[in-house]
Amino acid sequence: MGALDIRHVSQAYGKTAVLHDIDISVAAGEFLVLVGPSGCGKSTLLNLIAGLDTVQSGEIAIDGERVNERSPADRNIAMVFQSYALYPNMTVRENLGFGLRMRGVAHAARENAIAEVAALLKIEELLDRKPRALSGGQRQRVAMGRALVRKPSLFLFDEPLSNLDARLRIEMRTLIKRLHQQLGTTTVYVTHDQIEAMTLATRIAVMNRGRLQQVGTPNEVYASPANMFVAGFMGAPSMNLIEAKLVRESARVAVRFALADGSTATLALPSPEVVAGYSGDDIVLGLRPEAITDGASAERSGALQFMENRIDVVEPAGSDTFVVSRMGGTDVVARLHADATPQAGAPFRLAIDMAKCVLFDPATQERIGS
Amino acid sequence: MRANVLGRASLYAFLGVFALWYLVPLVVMLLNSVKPLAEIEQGNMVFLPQMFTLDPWRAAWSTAQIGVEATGLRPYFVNSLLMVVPAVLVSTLLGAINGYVLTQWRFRGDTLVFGLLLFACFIPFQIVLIPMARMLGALGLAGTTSGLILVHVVYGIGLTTLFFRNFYTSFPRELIRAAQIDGAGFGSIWLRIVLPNSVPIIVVCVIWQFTSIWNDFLFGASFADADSQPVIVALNNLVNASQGVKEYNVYFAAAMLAGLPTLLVYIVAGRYFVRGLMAGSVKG
Repeated sequence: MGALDIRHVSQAYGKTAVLHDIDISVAAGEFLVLVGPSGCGKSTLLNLIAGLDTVQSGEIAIDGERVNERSPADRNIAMVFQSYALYPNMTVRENLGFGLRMRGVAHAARENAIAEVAALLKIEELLDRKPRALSGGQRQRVAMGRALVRKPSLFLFDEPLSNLDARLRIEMRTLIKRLHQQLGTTTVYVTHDQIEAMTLATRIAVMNRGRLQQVGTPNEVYASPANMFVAGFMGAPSMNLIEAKLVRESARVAVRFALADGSTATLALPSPEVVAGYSGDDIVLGLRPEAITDGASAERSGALQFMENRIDVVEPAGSDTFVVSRMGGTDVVARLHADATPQAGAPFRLAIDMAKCVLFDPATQERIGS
Repeated sequence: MRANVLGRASLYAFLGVFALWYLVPLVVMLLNSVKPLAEIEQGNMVFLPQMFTLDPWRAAWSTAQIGVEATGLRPYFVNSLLMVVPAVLVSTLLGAINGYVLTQWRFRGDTLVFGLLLFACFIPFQIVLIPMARMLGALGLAGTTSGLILVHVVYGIGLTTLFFRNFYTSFPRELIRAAQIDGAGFGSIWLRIVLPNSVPIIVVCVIWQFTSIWNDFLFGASFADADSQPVIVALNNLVNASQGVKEYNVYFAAAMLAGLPTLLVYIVAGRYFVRGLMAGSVKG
C-alpha cells in the first residue's frame, strides 16, 4: 500500500480510449512525474486522481482508502493548475484562505496558516493584492501557496511551469524541488517537458497514447529505456536510434550499419548474452549522444570502439560540441568535448562506448534483453 | 491632401446630418415640454420657448387626468418601479444560475434544455396572452403587480440564460475546479467565485432586462388593472384620452418622465461596464 495507488485504471470517452489499464503505486514522500507528449492521457489521469473526473474502470486509493466515489474536496489533495486558477475577485490572502474557510477553519488559525505559507514562499508583501496585480512568477507562487496552506496528503501539479518564461521556469523548478525536500509531501506532477521530469522526479512514469510505457527512477528511464518511444522521448538531444544488422560470428556478436560514405561499421557487443533470446537479424541500436564522442579525449573504457565517419553538421554549444553524421541511414547526434575540432564535410574519428548501448526489436519496438 | 480634407468634411457633414435627424425629435419634445400650451397652439413647435415654464412637467407628474382620476403619472411610475426591480433581479439571477449549470455542471440532456430555453426567446408574445391570462387567474394574480413580475420573469429567463450561458462558456474551467478542490460546493462556487466575476454580463443583462420590462406595453396593457398599471400604459392612456384639450406640452413632459429611468440605467450601469475584470485569473 502506498500513499497513492492507481489500480488498473482505464478510461474512454465515446469510442476513444484515453487510458489503458494504468497501474502505478506511489510511496509516501515520492515525487512522481507523469510525462508524455500532449494527448497521452497524463492530464486525464491527474484529473481522475483529483476526482475532477469519474473513474470508469479500475480503482484509485489515497493512503490505502478507495476514493473513487469521493468528491475532490474529500480526498485531502491540493492541486496547482497550469493557468494558476487564482480567484480574480479575491486578494492573495483570501485566495490562500479560501480552502481553509470552506472547511470551517477558524479565523485565527487561518491567519496563522496563511502567514506561515506566505513566509515560506516569500509572498508576505503581496497578501493584500489582487491576482491581476501580480506577475506570472508571483501568481505561480500564490497558486503553490494555496495548495500548501491546507497541508494535504497529496499534491497534484498540472503543468504548472508551462506559462512561465525559460528563466523563471528554472527558478520555480528549483523552488518546487526544495519545497518537496523540505515538506516531503507525496507529489504527482504532470508535464510534457522531459527535462522537468528528469530534474524533479524521484520516479518517472512515461506515458504515450494512454499506455504506461515505463515507470522508473530518472536514471533507469534515461539509461535503460523500456522501448523506442521512451528512448526517443527522454533526453535532449534524444537517443540515437540506428537501424542495424545483427552479425553473429563464432566468437562474438556485433552490429553492422552503413556509414556516410557507403562503407559499413561493425561494432562488437560487449555483452552478447543480451541478444541470446532474439532470433531476428534486424535490430535497432540505441546510443545516447554522450556515448559517441571524439576519439582523442574519450575515457578509456574496455568497451570503447572507434570508427571514422563524415561529419555533416557541427553545432558548438559552449560546454560541448554536437556533431551530426549519417549512420544506418539516419542522422546521428554525437556529443564531443568542447575542445574537439571536427570539420563539416570532413571525416572524423569517433569513439563509441558500446557498454552504454541498448538494443531494440524493430518489429515490437521493445527493448531486447531487458 | 486636398481630396483628403474634402473627404473628411463630407464624412462629418454626413454624420452630422444623421445625428441631427436622430436628435430632432428629442429636441422638439424638450422644447415643447417647457412651453405654455398657447405657444404650441400658435404653431410654434420648433422654436425656443418665449416663456419658460415647468408647469407641464408638474402636471404630467402629479395632476394630469389619467383614466378617471387626475393623479398624473406618479402612482403608475411607482407601479412600474415595483414591477421592474424585482422582475429584473429575479430574471437576471435565474439566468445566471441557468447559465452556470448549463456550462459548468453539465447533465444529460442539457443541450436540449438550453435549446428549449433559447426557443422561448423567439415566441411572439401575442401567442401567450390568453393562456397566460388564464394562468394568472388560476394563481389569483390577475391584475396585480406580482402577476406582471411573474410574466416578465418567465419570459425573461430565455434571454438572460442565453446571456449568461454564452458568457460562462469562456469562464475558466480551472477556477471552478480549483474551488471544488478547495472544498466549495455548487452554491458557494456560484456565489463566491462565479457571480463576483460576472459583473460585465450582469450589467449587460440588467440594462437589457430593465429597458425591455420598463418599456413593455403589451403585458402591462393585458394583465394589469387600474391599480397596477405600469407607467408606459398610463402614458398611452394619457395621450390617447378622447376628451378635453390636447395638452401637448404635458404629453411631451410625460413621455420624457416615462423614459428617464431607462436613460438613468444606461448612464449609471454603463460606468460599471468595465471590461477585463477577469484579467489576472488566468495566464500571465
